[in-house]
Amino acid sequence: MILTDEQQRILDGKEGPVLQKYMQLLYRWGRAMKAERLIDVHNVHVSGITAPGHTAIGMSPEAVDGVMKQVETSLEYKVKVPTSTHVARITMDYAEERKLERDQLEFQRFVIKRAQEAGIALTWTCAPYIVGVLPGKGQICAWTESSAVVYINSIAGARSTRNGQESALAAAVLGWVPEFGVLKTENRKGDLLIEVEAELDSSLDYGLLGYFGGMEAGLDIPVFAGVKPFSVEAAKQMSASLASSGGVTMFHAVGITPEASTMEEAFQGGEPRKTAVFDESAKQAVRDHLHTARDGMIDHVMIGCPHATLEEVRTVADLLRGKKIHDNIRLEVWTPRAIRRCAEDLGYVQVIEEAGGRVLSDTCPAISRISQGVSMATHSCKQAHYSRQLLGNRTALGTLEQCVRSAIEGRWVS
Amino acid sequence: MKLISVIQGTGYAPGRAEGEALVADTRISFWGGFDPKSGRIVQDGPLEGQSAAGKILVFRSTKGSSGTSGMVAIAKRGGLHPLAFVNTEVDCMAALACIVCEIPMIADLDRDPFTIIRNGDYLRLDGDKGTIEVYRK
Repeated sequence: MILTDEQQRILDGKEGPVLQKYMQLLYRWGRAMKAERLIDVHNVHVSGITAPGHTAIGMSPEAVDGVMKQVETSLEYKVKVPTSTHVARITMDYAEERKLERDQLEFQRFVIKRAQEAGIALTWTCAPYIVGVLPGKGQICAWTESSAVVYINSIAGARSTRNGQESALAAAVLGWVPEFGVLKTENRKGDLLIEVEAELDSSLDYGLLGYFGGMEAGLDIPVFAGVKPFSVEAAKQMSASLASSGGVTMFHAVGITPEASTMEEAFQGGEPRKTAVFDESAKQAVRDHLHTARDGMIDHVMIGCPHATLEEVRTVADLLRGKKIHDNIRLEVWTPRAIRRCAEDLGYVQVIEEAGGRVLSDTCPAISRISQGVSMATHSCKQAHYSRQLLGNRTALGTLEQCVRSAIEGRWVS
Repeated sequence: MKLISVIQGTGYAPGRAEGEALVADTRISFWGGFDPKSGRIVQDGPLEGQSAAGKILVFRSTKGSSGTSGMVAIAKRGGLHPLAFVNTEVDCMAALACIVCEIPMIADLDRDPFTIIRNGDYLRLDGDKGTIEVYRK
């Protein structure tokens, strides 16, 4: 890898040990991934800027100190490019209800102060693209949150490899990323073709398609053919699923996404290495795999994975208007703070709360480990996928409307 | 212990490691599929319930979340991390995790490790040279 004089000076430690450490990381990572140079980054979305939350439970006090020290260190330098934050590990909403949050609120307030000084926008969301953090086509990004990486590569045509918190932070502080993978045009060509024959009616169906696509693609780039124009909510579900069942970084949808106006463009003139068909039976198979609460018993309804859009919050409010959520059910809508504010102004939050539901921000059940060991209804394949593994939950998977109706009925409605 | 094979690959993260192999031709999500506080694999599949702590993990690739490096780093704070990765596909998240946690990663192997390495074999890795020595009792 060839460095500029300025980059070499930082690597040699002439700008101090902290910047040297960041540069060493980008240099080693870039060299491993066969990058030839470091290029300018335009936008960063970084995880780990948060109090440790559940991470602290079961760790030694020294290890917890280490995690907190690391967060502190990460906020010592002003960022060079627009930088926003992935979800926190605790929520400050209804914090008095949970001991974990009470204990860590002070550190979270310290993080907020330091992040402001460092120039970091505390969006604390897994879906920054729904609150205006949306890079333009061709812009180079260093984003964490695999579903958001898939979204901006595929839907916006921006360019980001999948990042960890360490590489994203290094990119924010130094202003560069190693050039490899989908940052290069030739690595954005489709690898396999998925012919879509099933009807896609709801955002859930797009989630099921994405889950199937991720299983077929693994780390490769799938190209979907036969898909009609779809909503941001559908794209969000599809992106999240692709990065849950697989390690997909981007996809194309022929005639829809910005680098796939034709099949030929999607494959950059090449041939797919394989073809798979997503028909009604494939769709049902994914649904059956993720729907484990087969007896219909549920006690928790989770909306907003990835974080809910204003339209999704509105839909929930409309379905709940004048109704009561069943006593045995806890309904939570997770949405970015910016959307929560807007939803308050529009009265949606009040409607949901009057029905007995909650609207929460900053984190999610899978990250904060709230709601462990429950039977959870969700319209998100990603939440179903991880909540089973992470939280040991049983999951009921259905459309958004089905989830809300089930919350009112007190049992899963099919 | 007898040296039964030497596999040559490319080092993606430097350093040396030796230990018992934990092998499966599968993709692992370290966020969600791995519990950093016990060092166990918790995702569905061939390694479910197995401890990766102190083992050399021989698997296809990482997948899923961008939390891979963060989770391996948390495991390392408790000494419950895998000692090295041997992969047959290269995911940039695996390379990042190994570089951050200062454990070797080797991929681009000259032979199929899943037909050569068995669970419990003893491996000696050199992440700088990209070599894997496989020993068996």
